[in-house]
Amino acid sequence: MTSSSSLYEAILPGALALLAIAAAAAAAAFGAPGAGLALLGVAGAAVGISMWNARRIAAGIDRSVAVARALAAGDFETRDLVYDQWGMIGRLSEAINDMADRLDAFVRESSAAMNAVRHNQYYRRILPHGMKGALLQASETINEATDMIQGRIEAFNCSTSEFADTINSIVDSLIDGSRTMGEAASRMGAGAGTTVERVTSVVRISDSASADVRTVAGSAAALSASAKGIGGEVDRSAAIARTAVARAEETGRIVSGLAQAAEKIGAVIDLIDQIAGQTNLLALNATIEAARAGEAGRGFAVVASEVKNLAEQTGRATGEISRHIGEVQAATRAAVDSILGIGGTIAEIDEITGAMRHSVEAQIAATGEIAQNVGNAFDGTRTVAENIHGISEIARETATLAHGILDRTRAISSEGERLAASVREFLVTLRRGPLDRRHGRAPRVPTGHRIEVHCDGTTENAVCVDVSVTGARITAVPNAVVGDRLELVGEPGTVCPCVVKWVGEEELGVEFLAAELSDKSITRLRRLVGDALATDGGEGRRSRSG
Amino acid sequence: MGPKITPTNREVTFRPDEIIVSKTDLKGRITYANRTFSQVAGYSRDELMGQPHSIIRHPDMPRAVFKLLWDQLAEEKEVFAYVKNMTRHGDFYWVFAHVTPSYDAARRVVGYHSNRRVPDRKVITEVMAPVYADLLKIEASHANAKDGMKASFARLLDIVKSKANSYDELIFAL
Repeated sequence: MTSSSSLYEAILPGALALLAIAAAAAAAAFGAPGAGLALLGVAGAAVGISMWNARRIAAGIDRSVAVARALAAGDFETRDLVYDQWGMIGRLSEAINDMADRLDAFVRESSAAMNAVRHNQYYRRILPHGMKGALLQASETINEATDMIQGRIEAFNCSTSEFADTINSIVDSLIDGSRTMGEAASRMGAGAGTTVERVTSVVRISDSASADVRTVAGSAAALSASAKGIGGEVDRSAAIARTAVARAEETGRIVSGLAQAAEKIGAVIDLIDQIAGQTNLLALNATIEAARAGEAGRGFAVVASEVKNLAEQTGRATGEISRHIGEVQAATRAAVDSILGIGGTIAEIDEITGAMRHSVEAQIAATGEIAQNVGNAFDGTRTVAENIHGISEIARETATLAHGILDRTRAISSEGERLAASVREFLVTLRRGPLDRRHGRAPRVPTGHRIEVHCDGTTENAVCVDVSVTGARITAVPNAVVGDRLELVGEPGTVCPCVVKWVGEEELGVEFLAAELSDKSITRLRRLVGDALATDGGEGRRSRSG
Repeated sequence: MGPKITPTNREVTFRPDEIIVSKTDLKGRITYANRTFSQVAGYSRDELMGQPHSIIRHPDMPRAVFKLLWDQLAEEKEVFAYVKNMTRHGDFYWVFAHVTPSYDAARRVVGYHSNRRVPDRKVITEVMAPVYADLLKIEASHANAKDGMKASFARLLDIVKSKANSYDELIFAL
């Protein structure tokens, strides 16, 4: 295996031939032509062997060159298939094949490991057995990188799922809160509506109560005034009664005085009557004297009879007067009696009037108080009415606010759901990031084959205009809008879930959901693009969505 | 190939820094074998060329494992397997085989490539040998070879499912 053995292997037949020729020359010089010929024969054979060997070596080198060139061109399938050569060509052949095998193994291992990483699988490591030197170091570096990527992806997944959990929980509580708030607002709105209704009816009632109270207040004021009037009347009648009593007493006294005067007159009459009796006696005496005196006494007798007549007349007049005085006295006693009766009655009236006055005063006080209270009540009802009007305004405002809140809470709910959806989409995008980024610059190739488009249970036929491993452009399907989820079926069994990214007049663009593509679909897409590129020999049209 | 080989209980080994390499066409016929292959299996490369890869198949190997291998390759996936092989003398050797499709410039599969490494002895004795014995027993218990393989394949998938997300993951977890 040393270079010297290869050297001997290469030059030995030549050296042998040279030696044989030299020996043949020597034999000829020393007169042994037979031996010289034999040695020439040997030399010829050695030259023949040398030439054959040279051809064998040249062929072996050619094969090794072919393998080396293939390796340089990235072809790891070519090997030197002439096995078990002896000597240095055999060693070269094995060494070249071994080198190709080790490189082949490294390339297969590293691309398999990296392909697994591309599909977010991190258990696949490069098997270090059989790797040496720089290949082993590179394998270890790739494995360490995969470990780190795995660690980071796990940490990332952990963070994103924590983030998703947090966001979801926030959004949930947001939606929940806004729902509760919405319910409260809608209850508040309903309550406010009811309040407005009730307040409206209360306003009506309160207005009517206010009017009633106003009427009552008027009546009470009138009552109070009339009670005061009655009080005045009673006062006046009491005064009149008192005056009447005084007058009756006065009249009683006058009448009593009259009775005493009548008695005094009676006494005077009695005196006159006695004088009239004595006069009559005197007249009788005079007549007797006159008659004794005869003629001379005749004139005197006439006077005496006249005096006698006068006395008789006086006697009759005093009798008449006494009778009248008796009548006067009886009438006076009756008048005094009735005056006394009148006084008693009037005193009774006065007493009743006094009692009535107390009642009337109490009534006045009461009606005054009533009027005051009614007035207060009126003020109260007016305040209440004003307050109720205020409440009614507030309730109406509350209802408006409640509607506003309800709208906001609905908006919050839908925003929350939109946020959650965006975050989910964002996280999905993040998680499949490495795969997408790799495919991001993937070439797009025209295809033109018929496909089926499944959307929400309906199936449409369309034509795939062009395709890359990340997305496709297809002829428009009815009702598709940006964000719709579709499933493209190019050939039976290869379903490509995707999302509409743009919609034109005749075409629309979709992005494949890399995380959901089956291996079969990925293989099919890769083949579709790869085949087209291989036959095209270049890049297809660039996509319009970039 | 010549007369039927009788398996022996002798084990042959190779060094951990060596790889047994072979390439086959799409039908599994050997198109390249390295020297380690030839040395371990006891066949010259000229003998191996053009032969089906099953030339080194050991009768202790359940057929379900090869079904799984070919199923995976049909989907253009790499496949790993612990395989017990047999030399031309009937001796056995365990390998940890990694088989991948080979592509041409147009990314068409043109054949398969197999790198076989020294397996972890513990995995062989504690896991693979008992599992294969189990599968082999299932295959032998059916009169119809097809039914037997179906049952043992189902059993293999059950074992995988009970231990890991996928066969590959299970293999790498061992």
